[in-house]
Amino acid sequence: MTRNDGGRFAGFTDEELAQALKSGQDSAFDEIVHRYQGRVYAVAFRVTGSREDALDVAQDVFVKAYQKIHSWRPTGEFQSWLLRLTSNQAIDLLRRRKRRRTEQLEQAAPAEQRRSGATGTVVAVETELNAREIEERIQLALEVLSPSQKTVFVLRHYEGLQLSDIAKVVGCTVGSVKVHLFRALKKLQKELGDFYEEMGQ
Amino acid sequence: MTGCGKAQRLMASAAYEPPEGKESAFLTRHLASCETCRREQARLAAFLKSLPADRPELGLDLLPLVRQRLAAGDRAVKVPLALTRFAFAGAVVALVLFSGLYVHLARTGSRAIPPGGEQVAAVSPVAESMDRAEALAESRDYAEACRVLRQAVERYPEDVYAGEAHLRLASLLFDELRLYEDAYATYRIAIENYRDTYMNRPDRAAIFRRFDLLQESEKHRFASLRALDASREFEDYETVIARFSGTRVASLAARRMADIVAAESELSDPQLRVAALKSARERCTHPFAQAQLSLEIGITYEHELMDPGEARPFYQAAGDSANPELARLGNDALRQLGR
Repeated sequence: MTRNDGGRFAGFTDEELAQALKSGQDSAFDEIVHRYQGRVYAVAFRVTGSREDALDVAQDVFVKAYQKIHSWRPTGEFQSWLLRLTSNQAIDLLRRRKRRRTEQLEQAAPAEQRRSGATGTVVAVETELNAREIEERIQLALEVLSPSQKTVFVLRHYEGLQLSDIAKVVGCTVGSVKVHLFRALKKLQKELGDFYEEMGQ
Repeated sequence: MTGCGKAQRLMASAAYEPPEGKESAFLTRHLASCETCRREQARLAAFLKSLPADRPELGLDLLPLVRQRLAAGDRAVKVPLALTRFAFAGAVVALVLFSGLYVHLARTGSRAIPPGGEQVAAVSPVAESMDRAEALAESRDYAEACRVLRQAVERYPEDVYAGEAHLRLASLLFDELRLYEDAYATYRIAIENYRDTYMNRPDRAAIFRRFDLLQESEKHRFASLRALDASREFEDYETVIARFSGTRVASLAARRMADIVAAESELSDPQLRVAALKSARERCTHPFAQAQLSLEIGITYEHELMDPGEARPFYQAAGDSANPELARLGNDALRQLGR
């Protein structure tokens, strides 16, 4: 990764970074992007289900964060504010665009070309294909969730946010977050139950 | 066994974070005596254990692309999917060099690449005013925040942040100061004169709904909104509905009645909100309020639960109302279902 600034802001807290940007220290923005791009992309990917859409959303989020930093209030956590932008942008995209089902698995090379005669390599390839298949099935299963359920599940299961923080991101009560999570897990269990039986789980 | 629904709802969040207080006591007690829920808990734990929690890999540095977009007026830069399969800092650098648009925003001292896309040579005065207004709003001096914003947009109506400032001023007037006439006028200016700003907002649908609400209330000189503001108890909202039946304000009042019922019974989510609306309808004594709530129940069934069959009898009930506006809304909804 390239960096525009010499890491001057590396030791800043998120809120200090946001304040620095708000007060006109433009290079604080570089640290914000580098610190959060992985997380923002991951949330966008899980919500939109598409790498291409997630990359667009992630860019949108940081552009908007830059342009609207004046609306961030120091009394609130910067992470919650940024993830709220992310979930709003991702859900907005889902509503705006016609869903394109881009191929999410890379074209797996035919097993014959990758067999080397060593059993370990064959097992490694099959394991990799299984992992991809699981990933794709999970991503498909996420499609049955409502935007709120999906956002709450993604932020809790994949990003490990506390329920109280998720409530700030999504803009609802902790009680509602719990209900969304419950509904999400119920639906996912129903969608993925058969699949896990097939996979011998 | 009673309490299984509540226990299973708590189990979902408890799988990630241990419950506290009353919830913890309830769940412990219930699981001690309910075999079904203990099995459900085990199934849930096994399911979650089997779900991977890996984060999808980004695989590139977004910063140059974001900087490029900010410089190029915020048009999306498409990342060719083929480039994203490999570790490719070099590919990103090539993209930046090819475009020839590496921007040095920090050097200009200008914080803002405005929404309109044109690079400003100096800091936007309206943007500065918005910062001051935010600081005032944070300390709850809303009147002064509005004064600052109003002065800024009157002096610099062509500023690239003028549209945003109008929207912020309108929201402060509506949400904090309840000055509906001024809020209506300001939203109108924002929507009519700063269309680009408004259309690019992700919350433009919510803005337009609010504008519709104000436009409708203006016919009553905003008496309906003031009546809603003054309402606290279930009966107050019922009076609002009786006075302003069939309006957006009446719809809000109906939903607040359902919120009161829901809060009393810890309900949330559409299925349960319908139950709350039905309970609220049972408590009403005024026929117009009953009809308004029937309409709300129908809308919830049709649009949130995607069940037009269940919606139909409630729309019919509204359509049979002696209130002409509610009857019209109910019959219109039935006609739409009939398509």
